[in-house]
Amino acid sequence: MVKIGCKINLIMEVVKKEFLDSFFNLFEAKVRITQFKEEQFSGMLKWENDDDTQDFKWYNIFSNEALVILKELCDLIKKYKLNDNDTIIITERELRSKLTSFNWDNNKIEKGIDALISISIKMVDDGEETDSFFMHF
Amino acid sequence: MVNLKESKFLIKQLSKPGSELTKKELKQLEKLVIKFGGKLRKDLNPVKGKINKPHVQVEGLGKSIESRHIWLKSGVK
Repeated sequence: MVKIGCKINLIMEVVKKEFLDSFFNLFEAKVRITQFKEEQFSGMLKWENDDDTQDFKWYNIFSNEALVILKELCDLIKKYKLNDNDTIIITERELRSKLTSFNWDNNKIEKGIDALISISIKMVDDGEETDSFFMHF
Repeated sequence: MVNLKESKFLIKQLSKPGSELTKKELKQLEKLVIKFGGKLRKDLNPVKGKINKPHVQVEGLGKSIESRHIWLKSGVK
């Protein structure tokens, strides 16, 4: 029988994994998490038609609530083709307007966009943190 | 003669912190990328987000390097 504390931890980890899947979907990458400890996640990205992989490290600073909103935002950006790699191809104003039309309230829009432009996931080359994955307008 | 694998390695090196390309270096990089059928995507005026510095990214040489940010020295276009 699984204890309640363990179940909650498991749900929290699922939220983070699902967020990573959606975030890296913006970059057309598939995620494999290789290690996680508290709020640090390490893993590897793979792409179709590219033999090279990319290691990454993510130091999570967001609440699960923010990650759920951010995941939803990443999914919408992908679905409506609003990004070109790390660039959001519409203005922030246009994105806000689109989210309003999807019945997002102002608080959710604020949290989602703030999180989207704050997130930074490190690329790791030979164990060294180099560049980062992030989104910008 | 630099091959594609070496070019991708070079692009990764150029995206390390502290690396900033001069106009001449940018031209050389562009030539190399075009040689392998790719192109540079210039983002000289990122407006909001973690980055507000001009940079270029490489398209067409593989998805694994398309998110690399190659920073430019001030004034380089």
